[in-house]
Parts: sequence; C-alpha cells; structure tokens
Amino acid sequence: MTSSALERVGLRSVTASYGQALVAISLSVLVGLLVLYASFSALQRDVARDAAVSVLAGEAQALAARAATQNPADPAFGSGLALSQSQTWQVIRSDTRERVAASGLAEPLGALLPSDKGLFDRAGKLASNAQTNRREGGARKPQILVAEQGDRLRVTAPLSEAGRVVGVVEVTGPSRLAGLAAGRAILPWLAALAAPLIFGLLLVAWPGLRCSRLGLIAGSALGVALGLGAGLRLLIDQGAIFTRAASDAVSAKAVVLAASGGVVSPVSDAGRLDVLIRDGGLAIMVGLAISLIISSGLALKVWRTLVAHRAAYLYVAPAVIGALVLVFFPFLYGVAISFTDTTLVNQGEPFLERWTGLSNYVAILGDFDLIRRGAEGALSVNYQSFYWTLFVTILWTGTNVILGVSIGLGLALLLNIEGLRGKAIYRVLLILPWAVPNYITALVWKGMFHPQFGVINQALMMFGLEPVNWFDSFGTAFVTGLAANVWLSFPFMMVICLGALQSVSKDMYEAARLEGASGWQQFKDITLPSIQPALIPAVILSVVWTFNMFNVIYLVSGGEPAGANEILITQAYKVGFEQYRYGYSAAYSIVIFVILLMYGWFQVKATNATERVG
Amino acid sequence: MMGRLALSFRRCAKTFRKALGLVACAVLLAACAPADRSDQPGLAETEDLILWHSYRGAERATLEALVDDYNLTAADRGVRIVARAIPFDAFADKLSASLPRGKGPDVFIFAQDRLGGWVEGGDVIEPVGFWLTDEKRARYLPRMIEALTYQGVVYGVPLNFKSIALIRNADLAPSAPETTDQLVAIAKANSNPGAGNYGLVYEYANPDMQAALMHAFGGGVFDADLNPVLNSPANIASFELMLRWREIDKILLPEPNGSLVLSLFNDRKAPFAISGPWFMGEVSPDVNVSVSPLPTVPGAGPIQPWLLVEGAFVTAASKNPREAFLFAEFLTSDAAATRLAVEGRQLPSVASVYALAQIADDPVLSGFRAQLDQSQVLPNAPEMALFWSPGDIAMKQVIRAGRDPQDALNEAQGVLVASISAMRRVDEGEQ
Repeated sequence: MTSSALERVGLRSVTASYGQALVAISLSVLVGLLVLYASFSALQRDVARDAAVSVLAGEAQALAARAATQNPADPAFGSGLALSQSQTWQVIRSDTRERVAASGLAEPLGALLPSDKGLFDRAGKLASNAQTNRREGGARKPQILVAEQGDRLRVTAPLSEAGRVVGVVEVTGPSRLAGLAAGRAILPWLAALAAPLIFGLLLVAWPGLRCSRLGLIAGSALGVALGLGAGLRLLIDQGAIFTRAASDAVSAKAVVLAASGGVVSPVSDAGRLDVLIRDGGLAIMVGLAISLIISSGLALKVWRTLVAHRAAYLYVAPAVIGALVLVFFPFLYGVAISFTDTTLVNQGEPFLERWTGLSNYVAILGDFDLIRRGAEGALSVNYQSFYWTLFVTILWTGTNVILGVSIGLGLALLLNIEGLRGKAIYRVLLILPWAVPNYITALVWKGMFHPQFGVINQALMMFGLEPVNWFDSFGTAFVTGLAANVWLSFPFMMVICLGALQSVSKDMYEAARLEGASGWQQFKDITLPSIQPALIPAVILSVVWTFNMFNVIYLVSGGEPAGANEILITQAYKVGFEQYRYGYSAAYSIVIFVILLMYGWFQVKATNATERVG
Repeated sequence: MMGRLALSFRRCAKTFRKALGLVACAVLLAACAPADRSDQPGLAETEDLILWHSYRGAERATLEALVDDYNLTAADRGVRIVARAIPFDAFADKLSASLPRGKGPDVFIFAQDRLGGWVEGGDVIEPVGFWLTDEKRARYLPRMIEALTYQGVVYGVPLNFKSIALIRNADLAPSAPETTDQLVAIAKANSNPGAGNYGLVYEYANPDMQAALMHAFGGGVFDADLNPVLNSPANIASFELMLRWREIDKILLPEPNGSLVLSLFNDRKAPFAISGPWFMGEVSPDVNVSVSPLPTVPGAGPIQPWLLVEGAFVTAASKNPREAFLFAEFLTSDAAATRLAVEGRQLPSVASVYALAQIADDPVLSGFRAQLDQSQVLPNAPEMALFWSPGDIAMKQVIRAGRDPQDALNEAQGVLVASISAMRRVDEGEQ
C-alpha cells in the first residue's frame, strides 16, 4: 500500500463500510428468506401429506376391520366408506398368498403375481414390527407403512386374525387431500423484504451513521432482525390457519370412517409450528451472522487475504479438506451421537428421537458402584465401573512411561559411552522392536505368555517353578500388557535421549570433573537438565499414546480376567462393538478426549513454567 | 514478495497444465473404450453381482468353481457373479459397516447369528420368503428355514449347517456311547492324567459348549419369549454335570484349550472330543475318526448343541435382488449341494443329498447329519449377541476361580437383563 493510500484510509474505510452494510443487508435478507421459505413450504407439504396419510390409513384400517366380519370378495365390501374415484385398494393374504379383494387395480384376484413381492414383504414387515413393539412395550416400529410414489401415497395396514398379522390392506390415493390448497400469503414476504430495505435507505440518508462503523453494524443487524422477525411472525399465523383447514378436512372424513372401525389420527399443529419457529430463529441467526461478518469488514479482509496468498491456500487446501473430512467430521459426529442413546437397533431412527441429553455422561461419571458385596459377604471390585477402568488406565500409563523412560534413558547412556565397540550394531538391534508393527509384537507377546505353550512358562518350568496362568488374575495379566508395551516404547525414548545426549557439550563434563563432581552429580546437574527440553515433549507424547494404547491391551490380555484389565479406550470399543451401544460408547470416547485435553493443558502450563524458570 | 508470488504462480500454472494434459488423455481414453466395445457385436452390457464369502481352502475352491459354472449360463441373461473372499475375522464388521450404507455386496454368505441385529437395525436384508415357496422349502432339512427366519420373515437361502457332535477315535472307543454314563465309563478307562491321557477333550469353558449341556436339562439362555433364564435350575444342573466330569470323574482337561484338544486327539491320547466340522480338517489322517450324536443324560434328555445355519443373504441395496436370489438358490441345487458336500466337505442344507451313497456312507458327514436331529437353532435375535460376554465370564469364574455356579449365573443373568433393557430401551421396572 502506498503512503498516499494510507493517508486516505479514514475516508476509504467509511465508504467501504457503507457499501458493506448494504451488501450485508441484501445478502442476509436473501439467505434468511430462503430458509423461511423452505421451512414454510415444508410445513405446508407435511401437513397436507399427513392429512392425506391419516385419511388413507383410516380407510385401510376400516377395510381391515371389515375383513374380519365380511367377505372381502363381496361387491358391497368397500361401500359406505366414501372412497374417492382416484383411490385404489386391495386386500392381500400372505398365508395363502392370494389377492382376496381389490378395487381400481389391473391385477386379477387370486394367487399373487411375481410382481407382488413388495406387497408380500410389507405384510412380513408389519408382522415383524408388531412383534418388536410387543416385545419392547412401545411403538418404535411403524404399525402402518407409508410410501410416496410420485404424487400418490401408498398406505399399508395390517390385516389381523386372532392377534396375528395374516396379510395387508393397501390403499393408494393422491398425496394431497382434495380441496386443501396451499396458502399464498404475500404479506410475510413483503414484511421480511421491506423492513431491512427501509433501514438500508435510512443508513444512506442519516449523515451521522456514515462515519461510525459501529453504527453501520448495529443498523444493518437491526434491520435484518426486525424484517425477518416480522416475516416469521406472520408466517406462524399462516401456518396455523393452514393446519386448521387440514384438520377440519380430516375430521369430516373421520366421522364417516369411525362407524366402520377406521381410526383417523387427527392432524394438529403440535410441534409443526415449533419447527417453523426454530427454523425462523435459525434464519434470523444466520442472517445476523452474515450481516455482522460482512458489515464489520471481516469478510472483505478474509477474502483479500485469500486472494493475496492464493497459491499458499491452494497448496494447503487438500490437507485442510482431508482434515475436515477425516478428522473434524467424525469427531463432531461422535460428539453428536454421544448425546443420544443410539444402539444397533435404533440407529436408523431420526436423530432427535434418539436424543437423550447428558444421560450417557451421567451414567458413565455417576457409576460409583465400584465395590460390591458378594453373596458370601466377600468384597469384590466391579470391573465394569468407569472409575476402576480409569484407575487401571492411569496405572497402566504411569508404569509404562516410567519404565519406558528409565530403560530408554539407561540404554541411551550406555550407548553414549565413548569408544564403545559395535555401537552401530547395538543401536540397530535396540531400535528393532520399534520397527516391527506393534500388533505383530503384541501377538508375539501374547503367544509367549500362553499358559501351556508359551516360552515364559516353559522357562519357568525349566527352573523348576510352577507355570503361571498369566491371564487369570489381574496382576499377572497386567504384567503381560506392561511387558509388551515397554518393549514397544523404550526404543523411542532411547532414540530421543541419545540424540539429546550427543548434543551435550563435552567441555561441561570436563569442567565438572576438574571441580571434583561425582558421576551422579554430573548426571543430575549436567545430563538431565541438558536433555530435558527433548525429553519432556517425548514424555507428553508417550503419555498420550500409552493412555490410548488400544492394540496392546486388546491383543495381549484382551482385558482379561473378566474385563479387569480394560483401559478406557478398549472399554469404549467393547461397549460400542460388543454391546452395540454406540451412543454410550461415543460418550465414553468424549470423556477420554476431555481427560487427555485437560492433561495436555496442564502439561503445557507446567512445561512453560519450567522453561521460564530454566 | 510480488516477484516470488508470480514465480510460484507460474510454476503452479505449469503443473496445472501438465495435470490438465493427463486428464485430457484420460478422458480421451475413456471416450474411446466404450466406442471400441460397442463395435463388437454380441458383447452385451453385463451386470456384475458381488458375492462376499469368508471361505478358504477346499470350500473356497468349490464355491468359486460353482460360480464359474453359473456364470456360463448367467451370461445369456447379462449377469455375472463376482466372488470376493473376505477374511473371516473382518467379515462381520465389514458387513455391519457397509450394509446400512447400501455399499455392500449383492449377496453374501453368513451364519444366522447376526440376522436379527441386521433386521432390527434397518431394512438391509431383502426378504426372500416370497420366492421360497412351500414346494421349494420342502427340499431343505428341518430347521434350516427356521434358522434364517426372524419374526416370521424368511431372509436367506439356507446353504449348510454346523453344530458340534461327538468325535471319537474308533480304535480307542469302538462304539458310540448312547448315554453319558457309557461315555464316562469309556472315558474313565482311557483317562490317566499323569500320562497326559484324558477321556473327553473339549473346550468346556466356552459358553456354546456348555449350552449343549444346558439344553439336555431343558434349560438354555432364553425362554420362548427371548427372556433370559440363565440362572434356571436346569442350567445349574448342567454346570454340576460338567463340574462332576471335571472334579470327580476327572476325565476332562484341567485347562481347556483348542490347540490342546486337537493335539491330544491327534496323539491318540483321548478317545472322545467334542467339536464341529471345522475340527475335522485338522484331524490327523492316522486317527480312525468317526462322528456320532452327543449322548443322552440319564434322567434328563439328549445333549443338544446349538445349530448354526449358513445362508446366502440378498442385500436390500442390491440392484438386482431377483438375480442375486437365483444364484443363491443355484447353490442349493442338488448338483451344487452335492459338490459342496463332497469337495468342500460342507453339510448341505438340501435333504436329498444325504440319500446319496457317498454321503450316507461317510462316517463324518452322516454323524453330523444325525446330530442335526438333536440340536437347537442358535437364536438369531440381537439379544443373543449380548449373551457371550456375561456367559463367558460366568464360565471362567466357575471353572478357573471355583465360584459357585448359582452365584456366577445369577450375576450373568443380571448383566444380560440389564444390557437387553439398555438395547431395547425398556425400563427395568417393566420387565
């Protein structure tokens, strides 16, 4: 930017923000209107469809009720139900595989045709749903099937005999109730459009606002909120009027059908207007956000940065997209389902029906049932409790890191001895455990601890000791995992320490020796402080890795005995993929994430503190 | 700054042009390919139907040979079956992950144990009951269709069945025992723990082995309405029988374990083993092996193992479910089933196969076939999957920690009831 441009910056910024305010108003009103329009048309569509479904379902049930007492083949079977000319219906028995009665269809009565598989399967599905609902004592599975075929609706109701579903009654008809026209109110849209525009004009006309960035932001936001708010208010009235019309149309039909045993569920605005209000609120929020982002100049700044560094952003784009798709989306999805009770059986249901709020977290963190008293009065630990698993995880992490660091540091000190022969060979050999994929190492260790054939028990017996059933008690099973994981983790620590050790200046040791410092003093006051900057990040990483070391626990001890050796991450897996409680498992994972987040936060604080002191 | 930016932009543009050239080549090639094909007359567009299975060895070879045979005739209808072998360990998870998203195969081969979970989770399996008419169903052995039926709807074409049975070394035990008393008598005569000889070797710490004994006493995991009854008196009696074999008769291995069962049986150190068809492939050819149904417990009933039926399931997402079904049905034609029995060493679901002399005279296949009449279909409801973990813990507590069976089963029952309620979202008060 040239200096003359800098001088003019004050004037330019006012002009720019005035333009930005107008753009902000028009864009946010446009987006808000689109959201409102989509929500309002969805409301009308749903109400109209529900009205049609509830009438068709009532007709199907009335026909099914009649079939219990009348012969469906009787020509008078369908009369008196006020069925319209545009409707078709048929009665199917799946036990005898025949079409018992039909009206308005090309298919003949009698044995089902090969093309009737769908009908037959729908009968099976309704029978199956009825069983599930009876078992659960609820109505999770639909008792009436509805499908949309173009502009027609197909409603399938069960044909029951002595409590068993033996077939179906299927009715098809137009997907809108006759005489129910969509509302065409112009007023709400005008209100939503006009109010912000008036504010826009005011912004131009009001001289005081022109120099104040804050005034422009507030003015445009107020305009958007008032305009969209007024539009929403009027739309809610329109929605209520439309729903009442649909409800009246359905009740008229319900009176006719009730006499024949058809149950017509009434159409009400319960919940629907709430959805409209929720979407309207969303529209206003989105509108406000857009108007703020644009009128404050943020959008322009971002855009200019993107344009100025477009090559750089182009290069990082694949990584950003990859992280969004592979990391952030799964993570956010996990957070979302952790507030639901999603299980294997209900994962297909709408998200909001699975919503249970914080109950998973309450169940996990409130699981204080840690110590139990058995039938004989003996105390036992409840290994399924979250706090036991947390204790095991911390114990597991602590012992692993301490052993891994000590062994790694010890070996590094040995390898760092000057004039050591064959140093390169030792180094390669000691790094090997790290180079082997960890699940292979884990399986090898599992084999070595095998009670009958494992090399460890064979060795014990060679020395005249009793073989140990490694996986039968908590302590020994814990040792199996510990041994495998320390084997896997010490090379990393060794490499880190070795690298740090080699950069420590030899002069310091020489000076220390001249001053008469002992070997321990040299280690404590020179070696440790010198390698600390390299060691601390390695320990932090190692804690996080070990905390979530799924492979070793899962493959070596498998949490034996009786789940006592599970760590949090393997427990989350078992809840999710052995008990199929996906929501609970997701909440478990989030708890793990929060624990590690807190750990990381404290660790960073602590490290910063030591670095400042050092 | 500007100069470097411009330079990098030019470089960028150069790479971009190169990439564009490659894309253009690819588009050209792609455009040429169909043109070439359409020039050749008679080469109609074929539709590939994907088959997933987890077979290995002879089973896989036989299945793939059958697929090749089928494709010769199916080509006329523009259909081709493509068989893909999936590692068994990954199979269930792969199906669970792909079926709800409609990304899976057109047809796959799997046992019935997960069927209920698939159905309850959403419409992922195509019902085939409409196509399997009563005449067609009559071709199969009893209980085959039942195993693949969930809540009254038939979801698969039964291919073969598996259950455990009594496997004996006919040199050590010339005749098959009819009762457990006879079994124990022969086993005791052949037991000498000091020399490493055990009368009866099987993995008795596995819940599915114990279930066979539970059924003998009229017990089981669930009652007829799928309510858990783990701590019923019948189940406790079955535990006592197993413990008697172990503690008093001393005919069982102290530490049950699959590889030990196999090595003892192969080393002729055990007259009896209890296992399934999968065991037969590993039995040494030196052993004079014979298979017979598990014996009857005096005063109770015959030991009845769980029956697993492998079916060919058509997925709801298949573009051509009818053709997928026709292929599944082809696998159970008399000729295909016979080949799967003779070459693949399977136990086909088709009744007529067992009338053939080469099957009827086979001491292994006929033994497992006889066990079928004394078996119980493994429940295919999703509740069943919840049993394994508490069942396994109860078995280990009784066998390894010496816990009282009543106590261990009470606890397992509690865990199972609670996890079913959690899955079904039924309040515990309502049950």
